[in-house]
Amino acid sequence: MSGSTEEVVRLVKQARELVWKAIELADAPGLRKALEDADMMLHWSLWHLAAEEGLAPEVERKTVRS
Amino acid sequence: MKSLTAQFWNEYWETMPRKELERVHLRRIRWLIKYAYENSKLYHKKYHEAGVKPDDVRTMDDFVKKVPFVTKDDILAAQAESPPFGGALACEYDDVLHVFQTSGTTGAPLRIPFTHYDTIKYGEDWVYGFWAVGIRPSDSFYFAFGWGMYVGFWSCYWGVRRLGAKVISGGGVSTEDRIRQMQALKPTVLVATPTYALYIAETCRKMGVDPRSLGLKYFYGAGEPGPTALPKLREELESSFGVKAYELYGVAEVGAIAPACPTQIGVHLNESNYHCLVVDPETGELVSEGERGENVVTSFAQLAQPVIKYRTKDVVEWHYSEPCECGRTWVLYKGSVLGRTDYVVKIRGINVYQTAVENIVRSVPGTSPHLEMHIRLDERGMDDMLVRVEADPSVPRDSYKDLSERIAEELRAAIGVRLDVEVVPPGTLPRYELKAKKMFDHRPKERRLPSGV
Repeated sequence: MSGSTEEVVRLVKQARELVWKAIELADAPGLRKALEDADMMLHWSLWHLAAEEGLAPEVERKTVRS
Repeated sequence: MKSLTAQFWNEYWETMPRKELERVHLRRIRWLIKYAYENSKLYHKKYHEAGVKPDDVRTMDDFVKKVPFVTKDDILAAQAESPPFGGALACEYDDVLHVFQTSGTTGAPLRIPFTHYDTIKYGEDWVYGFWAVGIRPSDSFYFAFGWGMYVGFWSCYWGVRRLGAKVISGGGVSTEDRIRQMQALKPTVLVATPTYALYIAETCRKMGVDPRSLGLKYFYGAGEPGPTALPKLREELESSFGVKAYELYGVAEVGAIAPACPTQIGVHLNESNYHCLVVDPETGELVSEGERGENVVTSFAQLAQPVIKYRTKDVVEWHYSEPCECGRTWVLYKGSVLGRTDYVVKIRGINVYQTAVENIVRSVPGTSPHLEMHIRLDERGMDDMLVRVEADPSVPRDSYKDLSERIAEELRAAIGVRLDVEVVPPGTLPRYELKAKKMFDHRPKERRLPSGV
């Protein structure tokens, strides 16, 4: 993995943490779904770099919440 | 935009060295087995009976030797216990966002559930092939597809959305109306089963329309042996429409597993979403690189109804040690799918494959693309095959006997066995919008070859 790829991975993981915080605060179902979809796409971008930490994004979200 | 000139959709994955691929595969396999064991009654029971716990799978060798195969019958049985999905389901029912099923022509239909994320991954499988052959977001796709419960081109649609190209849905209209839609909207990519694409070309000619005037640049097919498996079919598609013709190898309940290779010599397993083993269909033992066997696939992309070491019954020839000419390190299935384990016929000691017969028959001048293969028993009770093929309209009827002799001789010279051949007039055999039914097995059930443990 090149230096720039590692930087992309770091930024995406950081973005996911922010999105997770937003999901916790989101009340409206439409907003919550949009944020969950955003998290799925961020997970997908990590999958593209073989840098994901599980098979499904909600698994990590649940781990963080518990 | 630099990314539009990139050779690969995802160079990092597509050119990953074999050792690194194996490392990532093992990690994903271990997650998947744990996930399936904890969430799917089918896998829990299967692994319990085999005496395997997720932690027992530490190496690829453990995976190959300890983890049991799963078959379509296993999934069907789990679904039948508690319909619609029973113990095959590994997610909450509410998380299933798409439901499909197989045609059920050889038994009960298999139900195929997907989560939203499954469909993203399934769709993206197609994009690797689109990109490799030169299709870009500026292209437009015409779907000659009826959008029923068959997942085939639904997944292609998900892929086109991932690519960001234009979708033109043919929907459930007549072939003539589809041709008129293409004339009006000028798509650049035709998506259809290969035999239906040939039927579109045939219908164009009947309407007085040159298929080349539709302005297509690519044909991209799936659902049955296509332009990679059948070079003569490729020639027919490419010359009829003036396109480059490619195919994707998919297994409905597993995924769009192997997108096109631009060299047209085969298709590549998408190793970001799948892992494969190729085994002897009778013993279940791994076959060596370059040999033919049954494709056994594990999907990292199907979490609603996991498929782990799944017996596809597809016969493939695999290559993986050296990168392909196209630059990919992914497993190459040379010639795509060569046949089905349940339709391989052993005639006088020789394995006769569906695609081999079809390639030879199509190469004989005077034949049309429409043929059927009937597997039956001869008078001694041995496996035998009758090939029925439509003559080209230019062939006079009094030449059919000579033509059938020529075809039989070509088959004997190429395969080493003599098959019965019957030439029939144009328009005799049925046309299909989806998969063409070409194989008919008339043998008693107990005489068919073993096709999955």
